[in-house]
Amino acid sequence: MKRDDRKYDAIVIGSGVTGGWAAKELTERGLRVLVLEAGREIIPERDYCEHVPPYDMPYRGKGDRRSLQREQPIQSECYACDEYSAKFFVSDVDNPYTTPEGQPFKWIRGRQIGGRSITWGKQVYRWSDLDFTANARDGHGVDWPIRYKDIAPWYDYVERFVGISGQAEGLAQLPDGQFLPPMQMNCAETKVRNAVAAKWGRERVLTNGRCAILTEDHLGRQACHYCGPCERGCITRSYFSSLTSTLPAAQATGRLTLRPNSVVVRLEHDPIRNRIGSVRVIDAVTLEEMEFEARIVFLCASALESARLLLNSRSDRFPTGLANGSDQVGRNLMDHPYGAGASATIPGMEDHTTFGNRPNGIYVARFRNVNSKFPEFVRGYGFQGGAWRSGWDRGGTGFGAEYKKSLIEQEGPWQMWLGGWGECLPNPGNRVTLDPEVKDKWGVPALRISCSFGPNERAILADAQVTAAEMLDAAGAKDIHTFDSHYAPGFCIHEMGTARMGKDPRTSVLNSWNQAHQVGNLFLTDGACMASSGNQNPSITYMALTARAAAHAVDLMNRHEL
Amino acid sequence: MQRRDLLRLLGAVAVAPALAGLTPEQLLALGRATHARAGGRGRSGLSPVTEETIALLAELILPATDTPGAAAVGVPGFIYQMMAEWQTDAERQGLLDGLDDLDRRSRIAGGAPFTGLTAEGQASLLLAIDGTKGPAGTAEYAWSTIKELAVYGYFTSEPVQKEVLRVQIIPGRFDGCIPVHSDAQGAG
Repeated sequence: MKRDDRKYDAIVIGSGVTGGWAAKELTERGLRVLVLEAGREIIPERDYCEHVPPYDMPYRGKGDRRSLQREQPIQSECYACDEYSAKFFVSDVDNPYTTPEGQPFKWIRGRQIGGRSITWGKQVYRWSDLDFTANARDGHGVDWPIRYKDIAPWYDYVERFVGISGQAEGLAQLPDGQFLPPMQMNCAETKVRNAVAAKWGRERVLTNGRCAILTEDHLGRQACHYCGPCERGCITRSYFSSLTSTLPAAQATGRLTLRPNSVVVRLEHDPIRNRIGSVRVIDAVTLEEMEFEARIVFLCASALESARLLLNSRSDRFPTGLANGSDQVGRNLMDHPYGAGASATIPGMEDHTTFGNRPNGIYVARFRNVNSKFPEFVRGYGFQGGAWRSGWDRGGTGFGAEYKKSLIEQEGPWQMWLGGWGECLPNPGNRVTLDPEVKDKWGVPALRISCSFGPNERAILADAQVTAAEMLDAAGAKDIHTFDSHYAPGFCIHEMGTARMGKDPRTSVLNSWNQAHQVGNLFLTDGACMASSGNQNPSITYMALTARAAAHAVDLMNRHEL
Repeated sequence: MQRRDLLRLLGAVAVAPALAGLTPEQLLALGRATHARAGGRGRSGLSPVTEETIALLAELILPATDTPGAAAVGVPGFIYQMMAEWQTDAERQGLLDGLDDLDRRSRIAGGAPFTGLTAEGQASLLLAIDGTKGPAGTAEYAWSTIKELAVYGYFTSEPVQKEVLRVQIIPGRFDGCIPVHSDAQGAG
């Protein structure tokens, strides 16, 4: 390899939702950028499969169950990992991790160009100062070094590019964004929305789901055609992924080098200049080892992979992990508790139905601990949910000609579910370390993940069942059932917090610009940076923080301060 | 080598904007051509008698009317395949034992295995167990399992998806609240 191929202005580790943004912002500001992605390349025309009908699949969409149980026993527990999309999730055999006995953690991962931005749920909710001041107010974790005013212009900036469909509601705790038209509610959702508004007014607001899916053509990408299964890809680029949005923008500058199959093993710290001197990589296919150099490094590998990489980059100067003088790398792992709520039948409207497959639902903004203190827990939760009429898949009793005719011609009653997505408190005891024995396929030490929900998270999920049932009842629902799926942490796939931002280098890893307190040319902008979890789906916040950090890094370089 | 890979990757991603001009039908054809699968399957390993019983049960659930029946759209073959390649050993054995139980009850009720009963005899036996799951190895278990697989196999088959449900893979729009069977609904 020629010397020139090894040196760049910036190296971005990871090509998912944050890596794509780092690549776009840094290249558009004039830097020559190398993106290192551990997984393979994805070619939408070859790999996307959202329009493949079930009869073209070997198991009609039910999955190659034996293969999944052998190769992907953890990944295939995820709703989005099925016969079509399993290829966008890692092999659990090649990518092991360990957990203490009786303390499961579900680590759902995608290693490919685009990362998990190919399969993500695309729900987009801004944070507010209710979230950025939460740690300071109740004393859990450390205070955020930023407030809403610091990130608001960057929310605007990334949202304008991403394309977000949503309905403005003017809620202080859930700020409106740069919205394209919302996706319609269906008949039953509208009925429940109106009933909730009639009973709770502005306290509980049920709104259209806000999502990174286009309802109008936008910046050269086509509006959604409502085929439905986004986790299988989107050939029309109607939803946001780094693969079809930010990375092409970075490529258009002519300054991007994208290297798939590049497993980053270590960041080598240069103690004389106190910078990352080089990035050590193993080619995932050839197993060739190589090094790359750059003036700055953006670590965007996902909360757990980035923590793993810092921990594995120990040196004489940083014996417990790179930039880990605070001992906070790997700690404060959070994931949203979810899977609890209520479902019911919404009577009536049986002469009406829907057309098209809306890849979105409804949202209820947080209402606990917003304007008054709720005695049973701190922080809060929001609801996602939706209504539908079942088709032939309802099955039911009977057989014969009439049974068949009814499955073909009749739909079931309107049904609706509401599920809470709760805030998780930062707890230094929820942490990851390097497993002393287990390594992945490429010889990198595996993570040992010790994480469990505490009483506050459990109280949130208990309350969500009650308030979900209340709201459905207010709309005249029948057969109301509460549920709690008792999901293990990690299963919400919102893992975050393992290298938190903060004001004090003694208690945090990153400063207010996502720059490592102790290593000036290292920026970390994935979920690891989060000082608290909020209850909102986090990706848009990661995007805004990444774009903000990239602009700041280039400013520092231009001022010769890096 | 590395440079060539990179150029190939850049070329591939650059294709995406070219798709913007394609119609939904063209996009659909592209996806299907890419994912066409070979149709042949391995043998089920089931006895002819078991296969015959399963095929009969599937046809009783979804008989031919003005729309095709289970056999006409390949439901029996789908069930054999799922038993051979998809079910666990315990599920498969529970189903086979359940079919034996069904035959045992048929002999008590009508002096013949299930396939040998009169149509009335078959219907009355099934009416007695329909809607009950039952533990593995029981007739109830076999019936509910076969029914689930038959309904799934029927409604995901190509003829039913295309000609009966008239599924539109690319609906092109979302309407949240329209009259049932209206023109606006289209089909499916």
